[in-house]
Amino acid sequence: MAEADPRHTHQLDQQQEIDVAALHEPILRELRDPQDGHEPIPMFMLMLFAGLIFWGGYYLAAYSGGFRSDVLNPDPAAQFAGGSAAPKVVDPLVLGEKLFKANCVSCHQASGQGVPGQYPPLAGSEWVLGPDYRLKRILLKGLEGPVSVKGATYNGNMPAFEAKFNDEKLAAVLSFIRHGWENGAPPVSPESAAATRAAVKDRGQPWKAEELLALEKDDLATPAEGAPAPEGAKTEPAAKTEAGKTP
Amino acid sequence: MISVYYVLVFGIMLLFGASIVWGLWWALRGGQFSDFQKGAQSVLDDDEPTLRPCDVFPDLREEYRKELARRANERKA
Amino acid sequence: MNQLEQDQGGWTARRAEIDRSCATPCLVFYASSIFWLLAGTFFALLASVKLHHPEFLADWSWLTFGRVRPAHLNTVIYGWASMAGIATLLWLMCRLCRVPLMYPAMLVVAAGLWNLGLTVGTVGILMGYSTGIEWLEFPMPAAFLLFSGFAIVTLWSVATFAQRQAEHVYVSQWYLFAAVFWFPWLYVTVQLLLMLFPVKGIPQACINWWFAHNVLGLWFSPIGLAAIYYLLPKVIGRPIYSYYLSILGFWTLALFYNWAGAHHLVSGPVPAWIVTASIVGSVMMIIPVVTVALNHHMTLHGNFRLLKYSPTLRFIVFGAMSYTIVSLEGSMMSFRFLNEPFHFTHRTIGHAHLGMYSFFTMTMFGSMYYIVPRLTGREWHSARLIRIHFWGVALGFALMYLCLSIGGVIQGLELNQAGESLEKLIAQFGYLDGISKFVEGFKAQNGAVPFLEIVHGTLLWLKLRTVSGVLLLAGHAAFAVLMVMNVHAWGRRHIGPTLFHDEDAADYDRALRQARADLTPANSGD
Repeated sequence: MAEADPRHTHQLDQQQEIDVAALHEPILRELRDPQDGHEPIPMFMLMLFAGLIFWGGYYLAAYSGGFRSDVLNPDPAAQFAGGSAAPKVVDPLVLGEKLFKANCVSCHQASGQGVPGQYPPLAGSEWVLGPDYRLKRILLKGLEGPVSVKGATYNGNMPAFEAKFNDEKLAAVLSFIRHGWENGAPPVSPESAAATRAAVKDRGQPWKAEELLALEKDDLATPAEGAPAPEGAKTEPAAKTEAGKTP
Repeated sequence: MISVYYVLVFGIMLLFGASIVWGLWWALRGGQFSDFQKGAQSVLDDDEPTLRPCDVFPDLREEYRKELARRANERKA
Repeated sequence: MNQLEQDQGGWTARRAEIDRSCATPCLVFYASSIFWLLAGTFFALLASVKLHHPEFLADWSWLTFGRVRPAHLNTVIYGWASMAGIATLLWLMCRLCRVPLMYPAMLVVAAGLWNLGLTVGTVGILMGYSTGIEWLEFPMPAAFLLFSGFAIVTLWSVATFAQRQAEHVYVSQWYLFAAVFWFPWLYVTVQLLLMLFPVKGIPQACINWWFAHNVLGLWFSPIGLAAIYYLLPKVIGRPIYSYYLSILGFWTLALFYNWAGAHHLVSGPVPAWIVTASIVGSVMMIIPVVTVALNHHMTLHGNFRLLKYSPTLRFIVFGAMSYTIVSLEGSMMSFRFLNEPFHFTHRTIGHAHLGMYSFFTMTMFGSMYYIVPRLTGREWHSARLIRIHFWGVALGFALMYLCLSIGGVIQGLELNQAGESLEKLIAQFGYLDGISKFVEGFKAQNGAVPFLEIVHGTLLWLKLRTVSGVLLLAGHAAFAVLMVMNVHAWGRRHIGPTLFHDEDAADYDRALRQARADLTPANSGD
């Protein structure tokens, strides 16, 4: 190690550990390759990158479900095939109970008895048990003014649910109140709900009780009432989507 | 409210997309991609000897010296 | 401006001046980062113990798992990793631009704001004011303080870059300059869209993971890679293998990384194309990763023996190799068929630590071994402590990664209806037959394993993970002691940057005096 090397004092780098003279030769030999820092991209890597980009394009096209915002399954065929092979069934009574608890229970009460003097009862009510065409109209457009239920007169405002419930929900909640509290009246089908909705769609204001009482029948061609039995009432998704189109 | 999102998201997106493109354009025009040899060596200063360790365990200095001397001899041989 | 010409061949003096200007702010950032590293390790150990002994310290609400775990995440991310990263970034930026840091005091203010934000945020989390959004648990005031601190760092980086006296922009500068832009972009976007004007529903999850994943790839990775690109040639004394590859690696990272976040939402109620685009982006990351890996490997080629001698090189190479592994693993993990069984298991934790610990943290340790002696002008005092540090964290990490990976894979298979639990089958049939029956059961999908049995099966791995945490803590403690010794000049004092012999000290002093004389405003030529 050449302590006497004059360069030693001039090299003021932090890296003064090793003597320059002793290293000079290997340094020069190490740098023999003028290409250092200049190597081209190896061919195999270019091939790999080309392959990756090709794969990326394929994968993006094949598993993006047509770039639709409502397709969550990477393979849309599987999503839709699975959908029609095993239709999702909803018991209208279960759905109806859920809707009742969310929307009606604060006035008509869980017992269906209403609040005396304020909100009419549903359990045993002639309006609920009677023909369903009045009931459907009340739910769609609401009811205002005096109304007599089970011998007592109520004067309140029943809100309209036309915008809130689609036909399936409308039918479900009506089926539920007609079935529950030992009412035992036949259910309402989504198709008949849709028909009534279409029939009264131009009406702007809520019904009056006397108007409804004047109705002798559901003045439109409704499908046969009570076709699906309450227990076995299952709705096919095809019917569901068709009915759901009506707002 | 929705329009705030659109302005935010698309505005920022455009801004950053444009800045990346601008950066690339700047680098191309400024000759940053023209001399790769120089680029690689720019990190090592002229007065900095190459193939020189500048970081070592405090107790391995002597050994490291010997290792380098050995390497130098091997290359000579 | 003629400084460049005057200094031709005289970069030594300039380097000394740069190091001197950076010393205070960088050391403040480094010292704080080590404090938060220790705090974060402490929270991590607590959380780890609670996973197998839930009753441990469960009576004090401040130290319940739901608070300690986010406290760990946020202190190590914003405290340790970001602060160490900022110090490294500032020093590298000045070195590569060849200008001293201006008004270093302002960066001390930035470090103060950052520390204040961390304290507010961590205490906030422990008190129960977490925002509940992963990676962003700090309550709002903390986020504001962090952002103010970072704004100063960004401004100073831009100003340093604008004043640069080096003609060529080295690849590390590309990475650093991008990082100081990308991080505020991510942070502001996510604060606006999740905190100030929160979006509703699915976009919330998309934005959250876009942020959380990009913090890794667009903030930590660029700093780590910049440090490796600078230090590898410096320590070996030989330029990087191919500058083509360096540039290609940077621009492809910029192009592809931003897409990767949504692969965390595989199987979630997210439009399929978002997840698919994210998977493609994740797989495309193979391009920059292979590029960088080849470049680093070929630069190091023939110099592997130096790993024995240089602590910096050891940590940096450990980090560089981990970067390759974690990125390729990440690309694979993004695929639906692998993501679905293993996403919600301990395997994901292992993967996250491979990135944040094995790559970034190790790289930062390596950078600190190189940079701190140049800032303080003193060598590292104890080789033994360096070895304890290296082996503690290397073995500790290896153990943690193995435990979490093995335990997580078993957990994932069992969660996906693997028949009988592995534990039960091994107890019944012994190891070899038990494992083969387990695999058969998984193939047959013959019924789900009861959930509690799955949880029980992970306990062994979680206990071993706590052991690994103790090893990591030992390593961190050794490093903290080394830092304190260096900064406070305990033990034998070395004058001048590392590896100077005492006989060189006079030379160094002379050079430093010369540098100061050259760089006084009167002589600066402007």
